[in-house]
Amino acid sequence: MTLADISRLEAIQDAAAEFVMDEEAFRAFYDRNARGVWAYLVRLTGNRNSADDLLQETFYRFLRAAADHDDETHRRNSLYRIATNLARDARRRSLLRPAAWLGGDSIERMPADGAENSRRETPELRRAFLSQAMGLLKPRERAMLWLAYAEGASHREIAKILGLKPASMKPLLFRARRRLAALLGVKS
Amino acid sequence: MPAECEFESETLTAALQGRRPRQLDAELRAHIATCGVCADVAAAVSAVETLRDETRAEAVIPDSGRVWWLAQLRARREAAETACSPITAVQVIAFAAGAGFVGACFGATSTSFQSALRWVATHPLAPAHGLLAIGMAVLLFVIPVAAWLAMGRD
Repeated sequence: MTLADISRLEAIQDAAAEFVMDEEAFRAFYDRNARGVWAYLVRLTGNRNSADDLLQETFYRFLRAAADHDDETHRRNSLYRIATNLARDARRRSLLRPAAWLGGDSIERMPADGAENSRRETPELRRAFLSQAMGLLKPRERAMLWLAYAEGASHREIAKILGLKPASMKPLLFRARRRLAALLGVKS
Repeated sequence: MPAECEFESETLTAALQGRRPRQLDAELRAHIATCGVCADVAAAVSAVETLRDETRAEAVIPDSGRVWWLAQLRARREAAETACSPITAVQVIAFAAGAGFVGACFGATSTSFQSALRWVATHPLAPAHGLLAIGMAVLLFVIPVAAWLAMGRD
């Protein structure tokens, strides 16, 4: 056995010990959060296949992050911050390679007969309409609304996850809400 | 439209609790009908919650055990690559030193090489050749370093 082999074996043995939690804790944490993170990634990327890939990457980076978490909320916020950054990077890459992004399992598009029809009709049409409206928002607006109303995060938590100033959250959330409501046809 | 409303948190709570307009008390319902801020809150919360419930319901996520296992495999692979990178650097430097040593031996023993060197030294453009020699010597150092950096990045 060469020196290289010994170094490699030692590194391999130490690798799993660098994770922030053990298997049992990780599996419980994953089971509690994976579905929510996947839904968040679907909304941010607009694509299920991308969300599948980014979900695994999110949890891997979370495990490898050398961070001390005070509690479950702190851990969860770290997870969503990683997911946000990965979705942002993926979006930047997709801007360079738009063909790759448009293919695959994109989330539903609104039928051509327009918003009015979709709002009135079947749950599928309504869902497609809502999805389309969300898709028309800026990625940051989508993330803010999702974290606030789907995940119940506070303004401070959202600011931390998205890397924004807490003081700017209220007006930003107000504008995002206003835009979504306008896209949904709510008359203020 | 004002940016705030005193009933906003009440509307938000009702919307987050999933209360339908008919379940709201008459005063709040009447307020939402006339207040832009609260109408936006109710519409946005309702839309996001609908999408959340449906998206979560259709999620097919990998088993936690599989994710843990794949993470371990990847961590081990990356650790092995990291552990090997200094050894790779030593190998590249050793290769460059070996090549330099072989070149030096060739230069010291080859009569044709030495006569070529003498011709270069007596040539009118000798100073320029000196610069060329220095450039080649620098390249001998730069190429292994560049190779090491490229391998490290991969």
